Amino acid sequence: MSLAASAGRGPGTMWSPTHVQVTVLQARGLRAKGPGGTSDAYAVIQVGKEKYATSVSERSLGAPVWREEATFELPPLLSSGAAPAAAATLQLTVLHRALLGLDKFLGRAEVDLRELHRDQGRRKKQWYTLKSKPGKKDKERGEIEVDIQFMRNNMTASMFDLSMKDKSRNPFGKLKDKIKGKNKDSASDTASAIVPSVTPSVDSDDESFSKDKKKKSKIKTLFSKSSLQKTPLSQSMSVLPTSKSDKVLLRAGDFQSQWDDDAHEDESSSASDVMSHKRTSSTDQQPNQSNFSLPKKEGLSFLGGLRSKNDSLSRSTVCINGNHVYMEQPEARSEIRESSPSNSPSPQGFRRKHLFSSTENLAARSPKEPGEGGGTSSDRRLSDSSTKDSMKSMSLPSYRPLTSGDNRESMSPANVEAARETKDSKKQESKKSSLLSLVTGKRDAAAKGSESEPLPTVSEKEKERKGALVEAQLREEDLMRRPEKDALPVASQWGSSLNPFEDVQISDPGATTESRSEPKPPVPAARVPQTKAVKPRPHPVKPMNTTATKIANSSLGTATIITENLISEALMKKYQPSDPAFAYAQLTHDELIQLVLKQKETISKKEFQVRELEDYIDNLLVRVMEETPNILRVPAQMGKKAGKM
Amino acid sequence: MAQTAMSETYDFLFKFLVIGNAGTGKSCLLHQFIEKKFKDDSNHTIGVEFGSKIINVGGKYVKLQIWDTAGQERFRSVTRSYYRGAAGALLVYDITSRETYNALTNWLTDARMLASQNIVLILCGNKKDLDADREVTFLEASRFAQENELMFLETSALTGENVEEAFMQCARKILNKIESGELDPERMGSGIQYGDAALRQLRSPRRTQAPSAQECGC
Repeated sequence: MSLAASAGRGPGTMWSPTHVQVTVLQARGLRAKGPGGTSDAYAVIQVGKEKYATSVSERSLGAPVWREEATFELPPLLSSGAAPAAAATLQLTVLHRALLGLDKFLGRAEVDLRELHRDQGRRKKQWYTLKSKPGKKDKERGEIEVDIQFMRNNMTASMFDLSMKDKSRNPFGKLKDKIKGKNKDSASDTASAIVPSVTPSVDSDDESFSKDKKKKSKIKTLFSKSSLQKTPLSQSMSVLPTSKSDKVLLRAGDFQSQWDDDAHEDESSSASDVMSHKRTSSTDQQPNQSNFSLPKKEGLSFLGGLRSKNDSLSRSTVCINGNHVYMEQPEARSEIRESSPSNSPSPQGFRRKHLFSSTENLAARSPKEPGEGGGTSSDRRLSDSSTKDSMKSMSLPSYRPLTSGDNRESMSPANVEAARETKDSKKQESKKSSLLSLVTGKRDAAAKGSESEPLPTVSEKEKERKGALVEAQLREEDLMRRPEKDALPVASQWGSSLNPFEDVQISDPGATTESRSEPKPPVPAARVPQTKAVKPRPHPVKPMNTTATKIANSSLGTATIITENLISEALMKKYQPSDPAFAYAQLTHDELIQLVLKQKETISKKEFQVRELEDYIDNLLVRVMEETPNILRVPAQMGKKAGKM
Repeated sequence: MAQTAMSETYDFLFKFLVIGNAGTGKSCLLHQFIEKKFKDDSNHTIGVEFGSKIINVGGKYVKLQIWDTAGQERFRSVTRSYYRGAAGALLVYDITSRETYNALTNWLTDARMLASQNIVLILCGNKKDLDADREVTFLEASRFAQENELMFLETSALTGENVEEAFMQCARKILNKIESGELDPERMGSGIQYGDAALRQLRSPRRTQAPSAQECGC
């Protein structure tokens, strides 16, 4: 991270994104391949060898709307131009789903991500003209609108997504009404997206609340594919790999994550009590955890959220705040890491950092963690008072929702501002303030954290408590502010707000892919820790949001994690790995419900298709009966030529 | 008319239907009638098909074009085409399955509504060979037939018992109605066509259909 960050900050130098999130919004002017000038269009999003497909927009009159996204890992040094063209080219292919035979090509657009990044900075939404296949005659094939967002590893994906979404929402933000609701929701949303696990960890009220929302969001995602960007995304993420869809459904990671959530809920109370234990355990377990999910971005955010929550939770403060808080905290930590190259070399430390950026506070408290946080950071933190921590937590929640620095300012002390300035100067390049705000927020938080940090556990607890209180206050403020700042998301966003979850999931896949593909980031050492954290996924399944939550959970309380593990193990024992039921054994009730709903959906789709086929055959038969009935003559008739009527 | 074995000369062409629940043996009845063999490898009928055969009824040669379809879908657009212009129909149930018997009223309604009011129906209690498993008595069914002005036979596609008889009876009734003026072959949708000798002669060289047993007999 430090490397990347430094590189990114350097004036005039491009920051180097590690991922790109591609959202296929819609297309227009498509050629009609289906009946009645319609087409069943879907888009294939490809970067390098990785590709995702959107759902099929059935019977679209040349203007399908998908709003689905996928996250791709980028080759290192994208901006430097060293990346091969193939690996840095986004290929958007629009196809018509044919009932019979090969799907029909509707058009293709290619985007050179290197160029785009160079020219457009962090995020760009624009229409691309669809072209014919190379070597074929050019026709008018319409165009496709795509939102391309570059992201960096070190930033938690969740953070990015959220910020981005907030921005995007803002333009849409017609729903001020919903904003307030959203604010609550957003808190819950963030919670749901990232927090789900967290919420459980949180104490009673908040937990249930967050859970409910979570469920809602899930359900919504299931049902509302089309309307919600996020949902589609989540779906796309989860389901997109059409070939893998089945697998996706069964993902262990998802299930586990859910488990984690549940476990958190159950354990939340205990976890709070066991704070000290948690820390130690967390240190030990963290590697494991990291293995589990470790979507870097999300993981960080989640972890951060969890930790913050844990802290706050331990104090039994507000979970919602915790969510917000964790968001910032992770950032802050990440910043700290960046700022302090001294980050501990120990792998655990790295993992922790990545995963638990939010938890860093805790880590700092724990003896082991200081190394992670980096001596400097830890020192800083120590210097900072507990109140500062609380401030951070406070500020953090506000940050995300606000996206802007306002929250920080209000929340954060002068240090934060200074940090911002430095960051801002570095990140001038990045157009989107959201990212900046996030970053700055992180930095600020980090600065705060660094200052305040190394307090004894007890002091930390106190801090947490304080922080929780502060957070609550901040929350209120945030809520008030949000409406203003965030142009609230439109109805779709509303869904998306629930979706934050989804976003997280999305980011997770990307993270997982990253971790898989690049166990260790090619990027300088600073990044490595992050990547490591991400890498260690034991699970073959892509981590979903739930995984993120898992991580968070793990970060929260090792105890909770352990319990979760035990539970999952117990469940696992019921079934042999060879047993097909094994994959399901790890699923939580919610997961199973989700699964069932998905299956139902696919079945109904299939039935619909069958019905369509039947109708088609029916109509064909009618025509045959009325025009050339002879061919319907029973073939058994003596093997002679089909008779004429 | 029957002068050339290879020709398909006939006086009338009747469109027939075979209707009834799935699994009652409609396709087997058809196969038995046309091939005089039991179709023991029959699957569920999918789609629509027909068989044809020329029979001699009271000195007239009648070509039966017998349509057979799946017993499930009753509300498809193909159903209308299937019923349209049918002069006669075999209403089939399975004597070992009361369910198929209970469904007869529905089939009857469909036939009368979708074909024509004048369609000539014969009720066939199929699987007569499975008397041990019988669920519907002959008496009960014959009463039902009487109430609904149906002819009635119990048939066995397996043994062939009463199969040809069923078709013959139905065709004879139609002929009678034609002769009595009750049915007008000229009317659209009657399900009856006159055989056109001249046309038949022109077509005959291309006809490969085997002459019916009756023709051979002649």
